[in-house]
Amino acid sequence: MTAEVLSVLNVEAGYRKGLAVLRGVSLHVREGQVAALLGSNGAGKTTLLRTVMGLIPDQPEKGEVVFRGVRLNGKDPDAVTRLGVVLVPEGRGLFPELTVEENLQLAGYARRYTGREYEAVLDRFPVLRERRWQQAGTLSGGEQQMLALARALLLRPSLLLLDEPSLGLAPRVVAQIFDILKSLNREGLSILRVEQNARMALTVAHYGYVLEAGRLVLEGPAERLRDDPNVQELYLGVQREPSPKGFRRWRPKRRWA
Amino acid sequence: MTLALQYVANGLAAGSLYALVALGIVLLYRSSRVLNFAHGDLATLGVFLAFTGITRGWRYGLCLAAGLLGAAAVSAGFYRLLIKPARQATSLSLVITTLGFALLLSGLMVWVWGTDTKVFPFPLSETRVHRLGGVVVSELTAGSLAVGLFLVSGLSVLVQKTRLGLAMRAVAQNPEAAQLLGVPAGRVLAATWAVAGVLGAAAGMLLAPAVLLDPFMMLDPFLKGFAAAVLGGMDSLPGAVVGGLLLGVAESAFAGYVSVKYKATLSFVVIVAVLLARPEGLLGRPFHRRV
Ligand SMILES: Nc1ncnc2c1ncn2[C@@H]1O[C@H](COP(=O)(O)OP(=O)(O)OP(=O)(O)O)[C@@H](O)[C@H]1O
Ligand SMILES: [Mg+2]
Repeated sequence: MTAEVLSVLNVEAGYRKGLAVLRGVSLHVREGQVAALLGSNGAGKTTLLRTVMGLIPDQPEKGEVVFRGVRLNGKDPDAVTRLGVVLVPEGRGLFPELTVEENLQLAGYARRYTGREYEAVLDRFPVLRERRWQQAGTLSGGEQQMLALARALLLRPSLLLLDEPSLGLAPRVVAQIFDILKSLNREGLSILRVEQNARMALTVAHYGYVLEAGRLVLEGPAERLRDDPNVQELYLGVQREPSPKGFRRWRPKRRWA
Repeated sequence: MTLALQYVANGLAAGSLYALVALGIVLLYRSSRVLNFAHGDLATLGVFLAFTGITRGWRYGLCLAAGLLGAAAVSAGFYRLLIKPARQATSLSLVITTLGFALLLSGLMVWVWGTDTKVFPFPLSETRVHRLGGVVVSELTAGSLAVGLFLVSGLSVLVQKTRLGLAMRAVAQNPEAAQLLGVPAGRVLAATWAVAGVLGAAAGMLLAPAVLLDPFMMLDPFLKGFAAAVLGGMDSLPGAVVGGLLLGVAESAFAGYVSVKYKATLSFVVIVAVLLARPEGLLGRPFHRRV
């Protein structure tokens, strides 16, 4: 067993007092592995990532978040980032009015990156090099996701948290991004990915968790989750029960397409 | 014609001071979403600090610098201790906080320095004049215009060309996203407040020789700066400069052609007219209601 990069231990968190969104969540990301967190709309996936980063003031209410032996509770998001936990948030968190280059430079504010690091990151995302002087808001959705990832990499993360990196992207772009994630992971980066789409989540992942209304309801190695009938039914859109007329319909639901 | 030019020259000199005050107000508004009513009193405090040093016979330049730094430190400290901790505060409660701090500061200044007016020694004189064509420009007028423009360009370089400036723009646009890049948003905002304090105190030091120094000296210029900020657009730095210069010239022309007596009223007319006709100001972006 490899060591854990991130441990979330019995975390309860929410936005208003008495209204917990996460109700006792424990999960782990192992060194060098990709963990996937699945769940439908409103399950609390984003809330979990925000809690880890310290983006919700005074949260978690209970429980602990530990990164390589360091307790993250109560730390400011910028401090958590500087420790090496980097979040690419829902909506990507770009500065639409700043240029691509300025967006990248901001990643060097706390710790300057070297020219070599900069070149290495741009080699991974060649489109960005051509668009350096363009406003980030004018990039296509795929290019924006690339920029968000490039910025994250310039921060030299030990653990990358991704909130629905495939959201709103064409399948070809999604495949491209997943390839990049795969190669980053091969080079040793640990990743925690949040996805609504289980098929996508479990293609690049070692281990998976299923979050349902603020509680983890299922966890296991990715291949096992892929084959789990509950996951298949709920998150892969495959229906098992016979219809009232007795016909078996193996029709995928459009929800997850 | 020369008369018109004369009004423009006087107006630009006054307007450059309004622009400095407006820049401070806009800088804070667009980054912290706070209307800082203590801005004027902070500036006055800076002038008093410099004044105290000068009357003790300390090096003049050093005293000015100490006054600027003092205003910067108090401004940043005010943000750190009172504004930042109020994380969930409404904008109304923040405005009230700044009003309270303004009262506290002016009370403090009355207590320490008294209410009688003081002559702030300044190397440029208001009575020594130069003639350019038919236009009469006093040394002080020319000096404040020059120093004002110098500070405005300095701020523009800081915001547009430096790392800190980039971080300031990022934090103003989206503090959360900036923090997720490791940018210490709190420290960057404190720096923004410090810069605003310097701009205000600089305006105060240019103004003090012309109007005499007392604890309420900045009351009127603060309102003018506020009007200029509204005119230019509360979230636009170039707007603050344009608004300040325009207001200065408009005021001087109004005083010359219409009435000196109601000159001060003009800025209120400007505020009301802008809010009615173009609430986003000259260079601001139109407001979008967030749903
Ligand atoms: N800023 C907020 N203030 C109050 N409640 C919030 C806030 N953000 C989220 N919530 C609530 O917390 C719950 C979980 O939201 P969260 O965004 O974590 O879900 P999610 O799993 O990321 O969903 P999605 O897949 O749609 O992104 C929801 O009921 C939501 O209404
Ligand atoms: Mg979400």
